[in-house]
Amino acid sequence: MTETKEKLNLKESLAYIFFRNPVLVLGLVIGQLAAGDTNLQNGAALSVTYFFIVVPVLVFASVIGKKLPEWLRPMCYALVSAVMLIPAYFVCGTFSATIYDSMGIYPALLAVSTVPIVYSSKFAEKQNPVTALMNGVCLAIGFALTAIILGAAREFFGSGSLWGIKIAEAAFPAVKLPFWGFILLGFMAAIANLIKDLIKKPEEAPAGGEEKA
Amino acid sequence: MKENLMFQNAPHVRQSESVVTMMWDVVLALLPVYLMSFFYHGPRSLVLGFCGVVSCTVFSLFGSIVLREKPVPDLTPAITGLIIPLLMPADIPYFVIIAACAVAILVVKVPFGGTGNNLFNPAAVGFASVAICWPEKVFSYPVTMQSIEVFGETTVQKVQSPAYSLALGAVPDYEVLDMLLGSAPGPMGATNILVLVACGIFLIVRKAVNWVSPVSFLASYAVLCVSFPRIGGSAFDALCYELFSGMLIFGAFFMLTEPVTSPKRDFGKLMAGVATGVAVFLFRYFGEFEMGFASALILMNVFSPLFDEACEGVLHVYRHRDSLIRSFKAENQRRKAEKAEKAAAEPVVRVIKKNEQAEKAAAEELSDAALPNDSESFEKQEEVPEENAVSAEDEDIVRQEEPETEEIDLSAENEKSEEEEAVQ
Amino acid sequence: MTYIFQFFTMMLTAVFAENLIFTRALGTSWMFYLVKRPKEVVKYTLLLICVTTLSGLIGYPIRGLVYDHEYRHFLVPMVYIGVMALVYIAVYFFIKKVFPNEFENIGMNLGVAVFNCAALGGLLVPAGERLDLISTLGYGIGMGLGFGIAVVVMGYGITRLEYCRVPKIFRGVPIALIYLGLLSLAFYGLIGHQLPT
Repeated sequence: MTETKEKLNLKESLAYIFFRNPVLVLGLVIGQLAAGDTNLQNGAALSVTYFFIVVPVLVFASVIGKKLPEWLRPMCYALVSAVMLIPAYFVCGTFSATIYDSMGIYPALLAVSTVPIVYSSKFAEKQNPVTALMNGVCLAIGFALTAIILGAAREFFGSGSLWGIKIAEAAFPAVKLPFWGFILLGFMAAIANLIKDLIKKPEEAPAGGEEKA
Repeated sequence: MKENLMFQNAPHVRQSESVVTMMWDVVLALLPVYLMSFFYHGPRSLVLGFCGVVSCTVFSLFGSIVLREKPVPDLTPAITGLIIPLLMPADIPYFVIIAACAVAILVVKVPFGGTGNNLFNPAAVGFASVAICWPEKVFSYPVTMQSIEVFGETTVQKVQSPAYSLALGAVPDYEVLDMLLGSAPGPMGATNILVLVACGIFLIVRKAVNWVSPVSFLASYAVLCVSFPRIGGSAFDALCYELFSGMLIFGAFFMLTEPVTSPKRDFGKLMAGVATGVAVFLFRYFGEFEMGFASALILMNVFSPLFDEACEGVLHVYRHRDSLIRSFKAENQRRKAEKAEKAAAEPVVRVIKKNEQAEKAAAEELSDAALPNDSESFEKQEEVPEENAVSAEDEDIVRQEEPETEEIDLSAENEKSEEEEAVQ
Repeated sequence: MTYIFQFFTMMLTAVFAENLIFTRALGTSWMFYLVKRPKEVVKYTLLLICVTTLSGLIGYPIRGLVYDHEYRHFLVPMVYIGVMALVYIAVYFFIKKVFPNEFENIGMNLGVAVFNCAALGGLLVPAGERLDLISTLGYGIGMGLGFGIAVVVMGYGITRLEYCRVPKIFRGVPIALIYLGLLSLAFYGLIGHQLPT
């Protein structure tokens, strides 16, 4: 196990914000967004939770992942991310006391989503800690972008408010149901593809939507 | 030659009829329904229909502009726009119609590739989505024979439909004849049973739709309703109330038969019709919603090619039963002969799992055992393992111990390699 | 007899009315992974059922301790992930000893098969609704079955999408999501507009 770890490649890390967005391009963490992200506050809370889970787990994986036996690693990552729910809970409590009540089980499910369990053992273990940290931050930012846009759109159309402040009449209450979450995410992904087509140079290889794991 | 052939989903063009004439037939058959609802509810129904057509057409144009495709003159969005208002009460606000049309065109049709590619019935999905969103608006119906204001607030008296009282287990307080003529409250276009049946017969005669799926659907639903009636009274009354309430008849002729999403073969259509009938029955009896038909139709659209495939399989067996039986017998005989041959040769075969360690141990064991026969060589007949190690079956490695039997094995191997070459 | 009835009612509820994928939207990425590997669906569905039932059994007595705690929002998932870790170890050694060939095929995927949103959701939902033991078991089994059915239905849909002329920007993730959304819309006809939380 003397292979050299991947060096930091800023361009690749930054790609996780948009070109390889974890939700819209890679197709991960869809369920939690579709069902749990029904307003802006929920989106923010999910983003904070995701940040607190993904960054430590990826750093953990890159620092001591290789030292554990292979079969124990997913378990360890799951346990670490479960522990990281604690700080996430207290940070989210600062902007809304009942936020975790209103979201039910969905923030907890982020702890066993694909990035902490699979991505960490497939990629992060081979990267040096700085790369892993950078990748984690960019993944969390990409997730947060999607979650906040989706949450804002659903809150605005569903109940006519933003961050709990009423600004318009409720137009289309059903957008808070999970199936509208799926459909809206699908359209957001299509728009992301459209923007990518518009600004991408032809020589770059397409990021591809088939890399779900 | 093959390059000239293009894959295209139904509707297919045949003889003097074309897709366009089929679509015009459907439009023509929908007009009497609109006239009847004009008679019962006043001019608002016509304005609703106009609104539906315009918004569907505009949305499909919008879709083709965003996707930078050349807009094709196409009647199907207009038909969707005509069908959607007919499923709703006559005093429905206009924005509900526009929302339903937006969902039907922008979510169901455009992303999947437009006409001929939609996997779900657009009208059913549009209706189901607005019904989930505004159930109190979609499922309370105005009483008939009262003209409704075209614009502004409607002041008409609203009641629940017979389908709702059936779901509660009560006998609807309308005569069967009322329901036949359409004076019972209900969706704008789905109450005039006689007119609907006449339109359906017109479509069938014009061959715009196939008779198999509506008939099988209604028959299977009727059988289920008579077997498990929800209300007391005679079976005939129960049957009439069940069939004439909601949008079953309308859906059977205008939505179930949509050429793109229904199966292509008659036998498949029959199976799909029966399955839809069962699904509608279950959704109506156990679901908490009145829109059993739309949900059941969406669910059945998922499986419609499956019905085609199943029917293909059944028909294949039926048509070629003689030759299949013959080939089966021949195969059996061949196997018996092979067995006899093998038994005569009496090979000693050892089966070793692909597990590496076991393989190594077994190899050592074998070589120990084979020490007296020095000339022998072991050939591994091993397939290249797949990258993901997907296949769950064990790949067995067969080795021959005695030199005489090698011929059989080699011949088998040769055959295999020849086949592979042929494939390549 | 009432227990058996309760068990099956709960199971059917979990399979159809509260389907893991279509109405609760859990475990979608794991589903998208399995959709491409139709041969493995049965195996992993069985594994999922094992995990949900076993963890539900072990977690049931512990649940009472943490459930009314002030910090239940992170204590309950932590406890259940801990229970899943125990089950993971047990399943790992069980498969290694009893099905060594299967073990080679499953290999690293075992971790993903145990620690995914579908399994954790199948534990947290009955815990959140405070179902009793029989219902918890029925719900766990039903959740696993519903997941398997959802994977099959979705996989069938994905193969159909290949025959559509899907516009370029919708190919891949977007069209799969829209398809999933429409399927889940159809399931909503069953449960009505009351959203189970």
